[in-house]
Amino acid sequence: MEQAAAKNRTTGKKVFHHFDFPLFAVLLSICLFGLVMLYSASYYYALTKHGDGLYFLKRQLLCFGIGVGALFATSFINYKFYRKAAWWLYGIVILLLAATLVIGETVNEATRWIKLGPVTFQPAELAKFGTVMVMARLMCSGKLKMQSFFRGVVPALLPLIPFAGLIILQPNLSMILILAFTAYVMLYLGGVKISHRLLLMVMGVTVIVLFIVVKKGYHADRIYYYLHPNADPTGVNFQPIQSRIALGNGGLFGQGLNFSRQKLNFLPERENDYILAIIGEELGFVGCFLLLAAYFFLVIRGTVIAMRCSDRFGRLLAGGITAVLAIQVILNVAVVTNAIPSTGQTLPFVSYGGTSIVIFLAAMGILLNISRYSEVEEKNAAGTEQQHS
Amino acid sequence: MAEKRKKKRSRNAAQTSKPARPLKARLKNALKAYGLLFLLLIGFLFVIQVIMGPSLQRSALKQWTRTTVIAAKRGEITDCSGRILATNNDVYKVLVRPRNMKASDRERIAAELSAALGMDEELVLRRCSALEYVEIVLKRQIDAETRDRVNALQLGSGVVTVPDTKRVYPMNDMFAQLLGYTDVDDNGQSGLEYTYNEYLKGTDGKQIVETDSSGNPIADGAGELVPPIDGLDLVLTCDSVMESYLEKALREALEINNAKAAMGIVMDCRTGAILAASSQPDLDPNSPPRNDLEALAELSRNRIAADSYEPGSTFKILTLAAAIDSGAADLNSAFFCSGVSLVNGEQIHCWKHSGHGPEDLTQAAENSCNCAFMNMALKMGKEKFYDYLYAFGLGRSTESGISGETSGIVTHEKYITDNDLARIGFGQSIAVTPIQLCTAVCAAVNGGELYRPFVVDRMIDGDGNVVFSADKTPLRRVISEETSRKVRSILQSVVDNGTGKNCRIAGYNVGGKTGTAQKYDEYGRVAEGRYICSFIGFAPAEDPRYVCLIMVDEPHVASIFGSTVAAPFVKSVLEDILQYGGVAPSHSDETVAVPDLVGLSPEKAEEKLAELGLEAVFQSRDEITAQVPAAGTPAAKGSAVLLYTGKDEDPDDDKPITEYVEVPDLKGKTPLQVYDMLTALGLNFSTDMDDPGGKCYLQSVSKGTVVAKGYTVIAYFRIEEAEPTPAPTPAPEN
Repeated sequence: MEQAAAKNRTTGKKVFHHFDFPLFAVLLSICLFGLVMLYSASYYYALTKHGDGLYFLKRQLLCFGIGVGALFATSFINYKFYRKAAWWLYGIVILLLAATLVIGETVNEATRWIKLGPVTFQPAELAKFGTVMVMARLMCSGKLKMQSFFRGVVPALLPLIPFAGLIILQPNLSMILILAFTAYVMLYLGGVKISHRLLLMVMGVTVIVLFIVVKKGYHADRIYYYLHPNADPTGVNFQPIQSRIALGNGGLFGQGLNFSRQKLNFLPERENDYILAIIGEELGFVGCFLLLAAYFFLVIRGTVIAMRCSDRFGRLLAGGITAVLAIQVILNVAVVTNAIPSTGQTLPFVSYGGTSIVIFLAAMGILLNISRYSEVEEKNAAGTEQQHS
Repeated sequence: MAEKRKKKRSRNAAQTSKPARPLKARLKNALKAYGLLFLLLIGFLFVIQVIMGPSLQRSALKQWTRTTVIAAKRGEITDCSGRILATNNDVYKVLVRPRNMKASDRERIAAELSAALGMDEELVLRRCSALEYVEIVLKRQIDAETRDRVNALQLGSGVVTVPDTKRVYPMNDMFAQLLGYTDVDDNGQSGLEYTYNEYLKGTDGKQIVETDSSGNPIADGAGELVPPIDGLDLVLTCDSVMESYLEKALREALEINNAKAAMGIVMDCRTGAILAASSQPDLDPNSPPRNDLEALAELSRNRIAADSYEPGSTFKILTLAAAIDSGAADLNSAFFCSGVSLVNGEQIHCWKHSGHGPEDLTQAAENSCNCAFMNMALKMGKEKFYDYLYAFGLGRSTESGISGETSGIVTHEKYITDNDLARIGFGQSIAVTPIQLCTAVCAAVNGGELYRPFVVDRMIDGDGNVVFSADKTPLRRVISEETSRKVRSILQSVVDNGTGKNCRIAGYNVGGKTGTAQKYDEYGRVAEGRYICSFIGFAPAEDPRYVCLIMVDEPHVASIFGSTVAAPFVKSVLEDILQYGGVAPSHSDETVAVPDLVGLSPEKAEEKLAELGLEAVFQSRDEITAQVPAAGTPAAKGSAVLLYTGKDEDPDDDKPITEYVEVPDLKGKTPLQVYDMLTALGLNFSTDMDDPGGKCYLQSVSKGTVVAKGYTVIAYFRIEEAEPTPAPTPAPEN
């Protein structure tokens, strides 16, 4: 590790040689494209609501700047650092989540935000990568018997209980869902038996069903209206229907950049969770397809980085980060296309949301850092570096 | 198991130094799973965007645009000289757009708006809070002043005032029934407004603008403007000056005669153009009594065309024309009236029971002798007489264009007896609408040509182009010119020497005929004391131009005759119209100014009139309360002045009217019962058997038919036999 750091310092040119440039280029393209689309989608709403068409763009640009800074920072921090710091970071996330409940801002009966001057911060976003980190840490050491339920699976999941508890108190159930998916993928990558995974799946589904049955109200309604997509078009189903209309209005090639009608305050959350609908309306199926292709490219690169990584922690970390990205994109697109009920997850790098873009860019920075320690490089470097124990 | 454990152990051992292969494989598997899900979502996107796209787009067009209707201007209605009878006022309506109001402002807006409009605040607030609507009409037809008041409040984009229309009738109740009125949405509800609605209304235009979800138009959004096509202006054949003469006369007739209604029509007999038409009482179409539907229907019905009446003696004009034209009578024909005629064994009385004695055709008309006209009708016979009746246009609508026109009742000749035929000869057993009668008389006096009556002369579009122009429509020749000339001279004689003398006009030759008919109640029985008195007059008699019919429904004065109740008013209308129409007097009669007689005793008045060479006609001999013509009016020497008293006396018993009864159901009755029932009603009983027995199974006149008293009903009887009924139902005892 010291050697690698030394190499970074001494041969600056080599840094970029090992930097996964295609990943970086595509990521940057998505971000810039996202800024353009955010501007287009939010302008009218920003103008009518805040009297300033650039209201959202300005804030997003600021967060984008911070995010790029974070990306470069994390890309220079050796990922093995996180192996040591995992529990510290875990502790910080727990503290932030707890702080959210105390000093957080309550919007629509949910306390999810900490206000820091002009920007708000959503600590739960950190929990996604916190989960990845702490699980990678637990599962890489060999202390856990991944084939065993009680000596492997349960201990690997135990640190998630404080996360889940604090997030349920907010409450933010869609975040719990994302954490559950992430944890599931991590367990799979960690080598948990299929029977145990099935058991977990059954338990998870049971919990969700019980929750919905017991709590009724909001979530049950969401499910009901999901199953009856044309009921209550001006109420609960307003958003899904308006999203469908936006996508449909786009057709194959779209109405052209800036020519969305649905963004004229017909589609709620147009700059946020539903920005893909506006992209679909302005750039058509072709635009959506290319965007999804770009995301999938990131996922492929992430997987490749994970596979090329020389140690298990790095592999699990890269695989986990990739998983969070993939899961979040899939959930967002599924909501926009009405394939699943609305969950309120952003489209990474594109949706308006400061915390999301900063944290995802930082995570991409970690991925970029891992890419510099690939097996390929190791081989090409003619064994000058000895793998540490 | 052991092997597995071993493998595991070895793998765990390997993990510390070198990552195991399975993790790589699992990463690959995860990637495959992501890939599948991505493909699935791309599939969803394809379905929604490309396959469902067009239909989704269509369904959303409504929410993206706002269509504002641009109302077409309703056409104006003017009289023949361009005086405006119906037009539109510029008014405004207030719209609220709840979504454009801030929630915190709603109560303030509702409070200020309700105060400005004089509306209930709670209602306004409810409208302002109805977020499910983009736009709601709050109040219509407010004037410019109120609109300015609303706009001055500056309530923001949530409250808008836009132009609205309101129909106004500058002449108020003039031509009320003819014009009709419209509803608040400018749709004609009655009269010409109704029948010509599609022409008057025009086609609304619309403006489509793209809007955001709150209904605000968007900058450089696409739009579409379909300009409205204004309605056509109607120019009527009517003249509002003549109408004012007619309406004034009708109102006087209504009041002086204490009548239920009075209706009148003036036609140009040379073309069929309707110059004036009215029934009184009427309504102001600017504010029809919309919440009293019964009164509304009663007052707005155009009785001229919608109601049928038994015409009585005015109908004799048509009998006369037909008889002369068919050769059944001519000026030399001699008649004898004994006061009663025997038709088919039935005694039909002349109105003058003592009889008119020997008379020629002209005298018969002057006397309005029923016997002579029965004679003419019977002489022509059913077939010939009916040909003339149909040729005169009776029994079907004249298609004048007046709303609600009916066709009258002409019983088919198959179903009438000679008795009926004789009655038709003097205007009974037949029902006509006033416009039918007037149209037919026009044909009888204008030289014999029947014209279709019309009221709309032309229609003009917004650019001033005449898109429709009516002209006189000759339908057919009914009688020869020679016959028409004879009819004219006989009818002039009626006015000069006979029952129509109350219609004499100084300087002009006037022809005319009186009429008095009894009314029937809703069961078809003669209604005691309810009459319709009418007079139809034309002038100048030598070359007729104007024909005026006035009918007075249910007058309540002592002397109920067309000659006294209606004729003086026809006279006043014709006199005014002749002067207004610039018809030069044909001769100079010596005229005197009618003195003021109101308040005088009958003797005094009679004396005063005799001094001036005028005749006095009294309604009853009491103190005089009104007179026709009014004091100061010039009157030809020898003409009559009608004198009214306040007393509403019962009509004379000596009525020139036959009474009618309804034939009862005789079925199942014994001969004795039938006899009793018929004699009680004043009907004659006859049967085909010498010694009738059993029960009645057939009657010559079906039950419910209205027949004149003295009519003979034949009943057929048979002895009750075992009828082929399945169950032995007992026959009704009584």
